[in-house]
Amino acid sequence: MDTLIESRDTVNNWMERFGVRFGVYKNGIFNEQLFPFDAIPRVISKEDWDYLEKGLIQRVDALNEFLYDIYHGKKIMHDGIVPAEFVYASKGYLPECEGITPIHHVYSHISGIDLVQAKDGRWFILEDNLRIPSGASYPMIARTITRKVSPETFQNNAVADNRNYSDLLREMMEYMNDDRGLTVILTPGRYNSAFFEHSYLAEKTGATLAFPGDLIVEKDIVYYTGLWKEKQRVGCIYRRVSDEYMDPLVFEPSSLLGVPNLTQAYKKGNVAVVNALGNGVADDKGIYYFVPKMIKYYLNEEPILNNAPTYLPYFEEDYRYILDHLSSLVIKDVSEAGGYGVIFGRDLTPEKLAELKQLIIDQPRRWIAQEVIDFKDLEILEGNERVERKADLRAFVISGKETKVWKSGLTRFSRNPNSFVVNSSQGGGFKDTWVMEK
Amino acid sequence: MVMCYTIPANKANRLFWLGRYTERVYISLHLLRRYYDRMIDGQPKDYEEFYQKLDFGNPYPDKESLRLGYMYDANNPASLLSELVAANDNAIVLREEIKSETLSYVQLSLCLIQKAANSQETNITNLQSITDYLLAFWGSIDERVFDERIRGLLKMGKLVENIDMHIRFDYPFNRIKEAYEELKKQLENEESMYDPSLIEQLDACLNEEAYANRDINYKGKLLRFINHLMLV
Repeated sequence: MDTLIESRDTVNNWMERFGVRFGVYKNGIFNEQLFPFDAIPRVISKEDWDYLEKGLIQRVDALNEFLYDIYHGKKIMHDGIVPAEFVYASKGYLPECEGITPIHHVYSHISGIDLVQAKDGRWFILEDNLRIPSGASYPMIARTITRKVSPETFQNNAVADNRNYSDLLREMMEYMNDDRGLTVILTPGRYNSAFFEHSYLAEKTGATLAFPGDLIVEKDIVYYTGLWKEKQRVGCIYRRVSDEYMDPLVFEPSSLLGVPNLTQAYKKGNVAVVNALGNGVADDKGIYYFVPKMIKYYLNEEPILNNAPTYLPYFEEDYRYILDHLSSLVIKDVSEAGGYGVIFGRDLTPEKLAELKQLIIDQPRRWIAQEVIDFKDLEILEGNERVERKADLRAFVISGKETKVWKSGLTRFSRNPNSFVVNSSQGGGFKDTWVMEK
Repeated sequence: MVMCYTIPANKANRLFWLGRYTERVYISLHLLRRYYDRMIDGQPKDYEEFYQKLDFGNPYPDKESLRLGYMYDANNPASLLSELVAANDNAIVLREEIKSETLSYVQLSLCLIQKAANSQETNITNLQSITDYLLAFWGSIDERVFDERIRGLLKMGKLVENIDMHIRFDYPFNRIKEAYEELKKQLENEESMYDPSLIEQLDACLNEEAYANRDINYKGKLLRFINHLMLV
């Protein structure tokens, strides 16, 4: 592995060459920057991976069952497992999706499940991302480059090949497409922070990259339109546009990113939308609390993977616990994402702590609280020095004909020694994730 | 997976302009080398035609600033940096059409000129790599892009820019005529992409007898026809 570490500048030059960047808006100005890559990989043993794989499949299968149930029979609410107010108050719940059955009943085709490993080796789920999780392209291209730059590293270590992500994706999209027509990746455009990923995945899967305005709906059929009125039927849309912008006639009317009347075509089963509309209800930070209960309810199994210990102010007992232990907990605003709205009680002054307490009292549904997990630090290179930083892991689970876990993942780390926040939008970097074959 | 044979208008436009901007940079580098040589020990009259022919007034106080400005001035649309940014703006959204390997040559060129701009590098020999990258870019197009229409749109852009620059810089008739005939071949299968009346006008102007590259009105007419020819 030493040669790989020594070659990190070469790896970063190759990243630059292939335009491996992400966009960030700061003070209204768009900037593209390289996603800092650290050459020391995260290594996951075969035993750990086998355990994670089972747990992830179980979790995503239960979440898919939950989504179907929420938009159909709502048994889980009727049986008192998940309180109805948590579902209906969730921003991600879309009443417009009531009764719609996605093709092959799959809602979350691509799930990005964020995990952390504690110092004692236990893994915890931090959050589920079931709308448009991003990040798989970075370790995928990093592996392509590192294998070129340091072949001996991979000769001497039995690392599972992760360059098959595009095959998993293509296989799933083809299954959802059912030979109806083109498969497209719908991007909001070049100024989206993940545009590199959209274009790279289009290239690697053979899907067509579609921009706003390229798709139209006629008689409930979606078409990709070209010069001089050419058009081709679309069978599957892997959309990288948020729910609320997908159809201006149903959701946000001012949206120029979506496709008018798409919901109608989707409702009739004429096009697969990957991931399905309305998934946000299941990856809501408040609903997260109930995922272990969902696993028992739908699958009649004990959850394999644990949530981080979580408290909901909605429940009287939890409410009191949170108010009594605020300074030692991490508080999350359920409506925020990307590492924003995460508050560590220990960092607050007594005045700020009192303000937060009042916010929780005023809007208990808006917050969840979690015990601070002492993440296992991972080594990164800071100059020529090895230092330890907090890191998480986003595992990617693909649900098509069957549910499969990609043998890799995005390991993000904080570059700030005092921070637990690893998001790229807040300056974090990434590592390759090695899953060992033996 | 079902093959896509449809090219949306915005992609056609991007392909055309990617062809134009990469050719523009390629020819600009060639001209830079020519005029840089004149600037070493020449007088303003020896190189002022350089910016006059590119239609930009010279906003720079001395030849050193002119040289640096022409290479790196982000506010000057005729600078190499601006042209490469424009090429990259088009290329970056065409990754799946032109492939990552092809795109990488535009990225490499842009990274190189950005680094040179940051250090205000005056030695132009480093920029030779951009010429090499652009030749590799076109080689990669031939190697990796099999869709005739995509290749056609890129080449139409390349040829239109080539003709434009060669007219501006008074290249011999044969050089322009060759590029024009090649452009017409590319247009044969894409009848709806150009204005046929302008082909007639160009045919009438672009013959050896009528060719009058020292006549400003004639040149202006040719430039107008060639730049309005395409409808993408």
